[in-house]
Amino acid sequence: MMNSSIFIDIKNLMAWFDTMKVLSGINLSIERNKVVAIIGPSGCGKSTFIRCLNRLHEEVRGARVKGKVFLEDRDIYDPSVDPVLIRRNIGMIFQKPNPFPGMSIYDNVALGLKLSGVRKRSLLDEKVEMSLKRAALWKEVKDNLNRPGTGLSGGQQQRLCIARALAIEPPVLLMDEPTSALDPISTSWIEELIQNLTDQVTVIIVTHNMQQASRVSDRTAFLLNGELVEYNKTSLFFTNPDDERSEAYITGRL
Amino acid sequence: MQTKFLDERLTQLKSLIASMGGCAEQMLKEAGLITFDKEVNREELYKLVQNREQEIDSLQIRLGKHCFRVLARQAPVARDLRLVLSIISINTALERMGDLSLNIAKKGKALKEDPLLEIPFEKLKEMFHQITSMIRGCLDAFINEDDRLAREVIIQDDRADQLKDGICVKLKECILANNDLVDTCIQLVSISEMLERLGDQATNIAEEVIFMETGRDVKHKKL
Repeated sequence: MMNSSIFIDIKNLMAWFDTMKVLSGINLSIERNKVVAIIGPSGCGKSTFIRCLNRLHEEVRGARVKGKVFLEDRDIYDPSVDPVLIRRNIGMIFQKPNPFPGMSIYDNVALGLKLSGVRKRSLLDEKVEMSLKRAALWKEVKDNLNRPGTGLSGGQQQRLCIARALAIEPPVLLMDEPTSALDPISTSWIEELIQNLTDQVTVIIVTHNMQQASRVSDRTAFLLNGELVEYNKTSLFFTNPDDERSEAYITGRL
Repeated sequence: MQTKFLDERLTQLKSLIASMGGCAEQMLKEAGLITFDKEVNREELYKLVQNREQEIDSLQIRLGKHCFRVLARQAPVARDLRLVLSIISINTALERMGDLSLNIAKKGKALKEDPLLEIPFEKLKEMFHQITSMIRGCLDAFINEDDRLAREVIIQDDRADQLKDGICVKLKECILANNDLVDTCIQLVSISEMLERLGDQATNIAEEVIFMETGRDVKHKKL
């Protein structure tokens, strides 16, 4: 029986690209409505790790996964689980904002809802407005919702992608270096947004920016060569890490 | 490259602490000479102590600015962060040590001797040695990043407190024996209290060394 405060429980997660093992038996428990930062040097398996949490990794030819990822009490790798539903329910934000080209701001946000079967215009309007508000974009776009999403600035596009992900009210939001292509002001918008989301969403964010991990997360996981070196409270991780390799990495001496 | 730059800055901060520490140690030694050595030119030595105190003050300002810049520009984390935070606290402690040694020198300069005061003087000398050893110990602990030595310094503080209490008891007896000694005895009590505070500052530095090395905050805790 899982500890009631644990929302995502990852057990002995391993991942491969063909014969190359990129994750070696990761065990990690994530509490509900917390922000977890995943850090580590390039190629350590951070992105693969979060792509395993919404079953996106297996979409790559030759890629495979072993282990269990419990979302509440259900293993998302159970054969009875439909990976498409998992991907729909676990939102993902990528490094580069990717609004759907040729679609308006409104349609970008409404698409996920329409695919989930929402047809009623008033409900769509309400959800689009709510999502854009939660993504802190509403004030900037409310008078021009028919503008193409791709016409927004980089920071606005990323917030649009967050609004799109939030529209279907996912319990988990995965973010893969969501601000690496953004300027400091847009970055601070997104960081503030992450903090505000935790009343309803559990956020797992991959970042190369250690200050960002330190600012936004409750816990930090440090991956090295596909292994989980340390998983600790962020306040401890950045002031007094348990593992020498963590210390060496965050102080730039690895 | 970034790390090398940070390492250089941290080494610079440490060497500024070493300079301040050297000054503070020297000041206490000179304050002791003024207090106990009949042969020295007290006025001349006192001027030297005053100059050193000014040097510590200017080092304090310089070090504070450097720490501020390192925090703002390098954003250190983990042990590097603890080191800078400890240096900020040690900087304050050393500046206070300079003030206390200057005050001891000032009071020591005006002391009058009397055969009745021989025992308190001897005890005060012992206290000087004790505090000098604590200051040297905490600075060595900082330079050598030695939290074990820092713990030894903290333990020594109890002995310094006992010595001060013992001095006060003896001085009380002297006052009862000869009322004319009241003024001198008050000066001696004041010196012993300042020495006690120097010991407290050495303890503070030792606690910072433990924090810097282990991440554990041992302030107001039994070791």
